[in-house]
Amino acid sequence: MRAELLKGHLDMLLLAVLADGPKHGYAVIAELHQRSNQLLDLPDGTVYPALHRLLRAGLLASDWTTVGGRRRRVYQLTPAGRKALVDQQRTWQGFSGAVQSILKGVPWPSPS
Amino acid sequence: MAEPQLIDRYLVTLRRSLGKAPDAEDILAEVEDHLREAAAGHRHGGLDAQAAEARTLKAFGSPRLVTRAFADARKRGLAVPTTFTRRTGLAAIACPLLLLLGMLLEEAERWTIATWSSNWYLAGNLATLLALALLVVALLGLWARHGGAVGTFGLAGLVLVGLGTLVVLAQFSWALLLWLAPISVGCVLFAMGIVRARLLSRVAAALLGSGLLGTAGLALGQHLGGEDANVMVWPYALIGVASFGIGLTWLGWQLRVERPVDTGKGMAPFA
Repeated sequence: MRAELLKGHLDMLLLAVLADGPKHGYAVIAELHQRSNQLLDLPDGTVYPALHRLLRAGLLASDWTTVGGRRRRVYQLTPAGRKALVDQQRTWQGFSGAVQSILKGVPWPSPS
Repeated sequence: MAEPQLIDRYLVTLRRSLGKAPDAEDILAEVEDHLREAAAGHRHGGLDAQAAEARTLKAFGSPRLVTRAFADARKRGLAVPTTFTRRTGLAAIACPLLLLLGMLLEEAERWTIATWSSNWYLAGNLATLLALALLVVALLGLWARHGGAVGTFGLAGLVLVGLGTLVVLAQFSWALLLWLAPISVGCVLFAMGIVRARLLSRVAAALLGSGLLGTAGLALGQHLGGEDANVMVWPYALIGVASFGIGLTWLGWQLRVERPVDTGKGMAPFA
């Protein structure tokens, strides 16, 4: 999957990966790869700036721990981050459902 | 056999590349943690130490790429809907209506010989000015919604539209092209930024970009063709404004219907 297709969606994906509980950067990225069946073609190092941006926006919080003598930063969702994830999931599901309907040639059910 | 030092060398290069970044030490600690853990995973999977580090670094990206990504992230906000972007959607929807009203009021003067006709012209000018102010607000909202992903094109477009609006504040009647040209080109550039960002409707962006440019082209033709061209040009200019208006209204509607993720408290980085 090309990196530019991820523009605007990476934030949502990171929030989704962290919805299960706190994780450090490597675990977040490993899970991104695993859940996408290794289809996300994104340099690992470019995910960290996105995590830091979410931190600054207050959607994530982080704590430092020490593992094997190395400093490790662990991220977790804040309440605002959880709300943002729910909203973005709803928007995405509506959009992808409509696109799927168009591709399959069937009418998209009204979200009433 | 010497221990592989690829990761060590990478970290030294990255430290140099990060320069005086305020959180350089934290970034380095985090990157080192990632690289060591990833390399250990590859070794566990059967690679020798050298190959494990090489594969880890290849997947991570060059120090230059990572440094640039951090620099971009510092400049950018989040590409998420907020209360601010939702409000600016209203400005995007109102702008074309006011622009159309302004055009109609200014044209009304040509169709009437009443002594109060100059009031129509003044009202038209005011409506146009307000519409352009709303356009700037709408573009700021679209900028914020993209979290800066509209890039250099978007920034250049925003600056041009802002300059064009300032010209309107000081304009004389002959200066139509002086403000219409920068605003039109600005809208084109901003629309290109939206298309490249692939977040909101690209069709709407194309309409936004093409509409006013067509009108500016017609205005130029009118300028070169003299007064005789005026009667024929005006209806086509209306089509250009309508195209621009549909595009901007479409984008504004997209901003309006999205649920904001901020609570309005302590979420300054969004806006």
